Amino acid sequence: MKQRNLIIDTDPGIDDALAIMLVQASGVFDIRAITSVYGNSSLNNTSRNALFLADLYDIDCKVAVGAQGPIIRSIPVDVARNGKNGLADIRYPQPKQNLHDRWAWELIYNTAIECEGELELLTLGPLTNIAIALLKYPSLKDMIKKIVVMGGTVSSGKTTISAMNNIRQDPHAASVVFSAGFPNLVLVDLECCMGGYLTDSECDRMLILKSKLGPVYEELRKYQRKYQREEIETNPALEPILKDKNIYCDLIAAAVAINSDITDYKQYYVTCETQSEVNYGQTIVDWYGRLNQVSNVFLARNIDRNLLSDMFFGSFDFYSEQNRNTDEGVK
Amino acid sequence: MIKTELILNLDTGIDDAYTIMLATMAESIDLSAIVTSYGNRSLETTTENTLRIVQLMGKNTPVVIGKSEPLFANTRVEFRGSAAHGDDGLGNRAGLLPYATLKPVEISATEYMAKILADSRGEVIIVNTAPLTNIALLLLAHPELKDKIATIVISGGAIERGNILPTVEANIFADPEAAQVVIQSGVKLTICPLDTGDKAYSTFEDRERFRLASNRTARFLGEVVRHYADHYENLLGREGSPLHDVVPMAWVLNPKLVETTPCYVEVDLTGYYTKGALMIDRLKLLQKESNASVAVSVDREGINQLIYESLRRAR
Repeated sequence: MKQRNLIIDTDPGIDDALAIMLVQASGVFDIRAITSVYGNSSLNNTSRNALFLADLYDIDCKVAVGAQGPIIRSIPVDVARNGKNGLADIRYPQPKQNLHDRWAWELIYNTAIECEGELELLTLGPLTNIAIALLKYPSLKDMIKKIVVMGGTVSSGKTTISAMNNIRQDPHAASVVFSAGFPNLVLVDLECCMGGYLTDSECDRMLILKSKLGPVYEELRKYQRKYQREEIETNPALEPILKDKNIYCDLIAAAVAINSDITDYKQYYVTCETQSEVNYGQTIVDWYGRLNQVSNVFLARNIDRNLLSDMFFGSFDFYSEQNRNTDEGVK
Repeated sequence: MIKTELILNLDTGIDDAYTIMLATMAESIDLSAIVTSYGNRSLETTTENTLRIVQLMGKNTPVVIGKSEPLFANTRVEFRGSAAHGDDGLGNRAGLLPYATLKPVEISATEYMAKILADSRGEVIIVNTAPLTNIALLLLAHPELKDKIATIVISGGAIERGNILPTVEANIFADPEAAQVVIQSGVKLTICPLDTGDKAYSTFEDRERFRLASNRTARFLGEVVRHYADHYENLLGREGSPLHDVVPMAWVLNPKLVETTPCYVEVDLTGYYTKGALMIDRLKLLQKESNASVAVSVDREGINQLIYESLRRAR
């Protein structure tokens, strides 16, 4: 089967790391490029992490560097969530390749031209790179077959106050992306992801698989468990929604990009708040048409979490298979 | 029995009319005054409606005229309730009631409420189902009376579904600064958001049963609620008419009917899309001390039973 073309725009990041693994293991995509953006950590860290992940997952593609901060205003980021280096503070070897010599947005645009309408985007970080691409090349919106965006939270009460990092870190960029007019923009928001949790045992059963990802995964998992435990200790109100639930938002967005049947969709007009002091970066979904706008987003709803769990587990299988093949090759 | 002293601040309004009915029919309540506010409709209309409903109930509760506009001139004055409440605020059925012969009290609402508070034992409950302008002004002008108020119970704000903008509800939207004054006042608050009110709906069967109370109040309220029901059944795409403004009064009469949780809340005063949104930190992500009890669920059947029983006591 012909592979689909994809660029992953990402700020790795523990769950970015898992998402990229899932994409590569699925085999459905020819990953044309990985573009890095600040977010979970500084641009330096996320770019270096992206290079490492490309090596780890045997992805042969360009890695281009993007924006080092939001368009207008920086907000504080919880560094502890992903560690000082953005990737659970794991130490890894010097990446094999160098960063591409052009900016992320140039690479995205040029790849879109090469792919002749067959390029898809998966964004796992703040939307700054995509916004810059759109501001510079407005025609890009018609050249992207589909864009899957992980970001935002559509309910102001159930998940976070009103905002979720990928959108909150650069709401101006997000509003450029939302209003660009992409024919097929899928938004995977935090509330949707809450239903796509993996249980502790689902996350831990990978630990016994013999795979070259094993040692890295184990460290990511250990770090993330510790963080989650501390998060619940600091704020017991989070316990009911986080206990025995591991929510890897980027992984879910990747799953949606790979297999669109993993979720249902509802069409809405979505925008985002850029002025408010209280609700800065809030994703606004116009549930009842108060804003009189045409819908611009397919909002993912109801993730099939069993399918997600299978896909996740299967990606480890993929790499153990690959391991075996490589071993045989050596013999 | 020591009765609960109560002040209502209303913009009557179909569901406000039910609130008046519940308050006047409750044996446990001493209704000290009804203050009128602009809101769903203009002050003139909401005042006339309030007087007519009080008269319908056969009561002579003092009706006091409140403010006709928000606190500050930079807030647009709009009366956006005609879709839900009809042009006359009573489902285009106000004409079924005679003009009010009852006269409003000729003292300013602020002074009248202040006097009630000053003369009270100090446990007055204020139920507010309108913009908060009148209450904010009371608290600004008489900070010395704050501790005479047991609780301010507010129908306002939205957890998810706003009715003006996607996250913005009408009572807070109409005067966001007034809402902020009330929220920051330190007075105990119970807030019943719009989408919790959505859960307090009456089915067609419930509404038919109300009519079986067989008195003129039941007949009139049964008639006017049809407008509200049509609007909301169409909007929400399901059967059942919410009666948002009934929830605060239901909580006063029987707290078990409304489940609340303590939250930090704050009014958005600066947003482009979110000015007038009530930010409700249900998950304590801001780690700020809670300043309100927020209604999160209701005993729907219990509330309908309360309405039915109250209607049976009406005339």
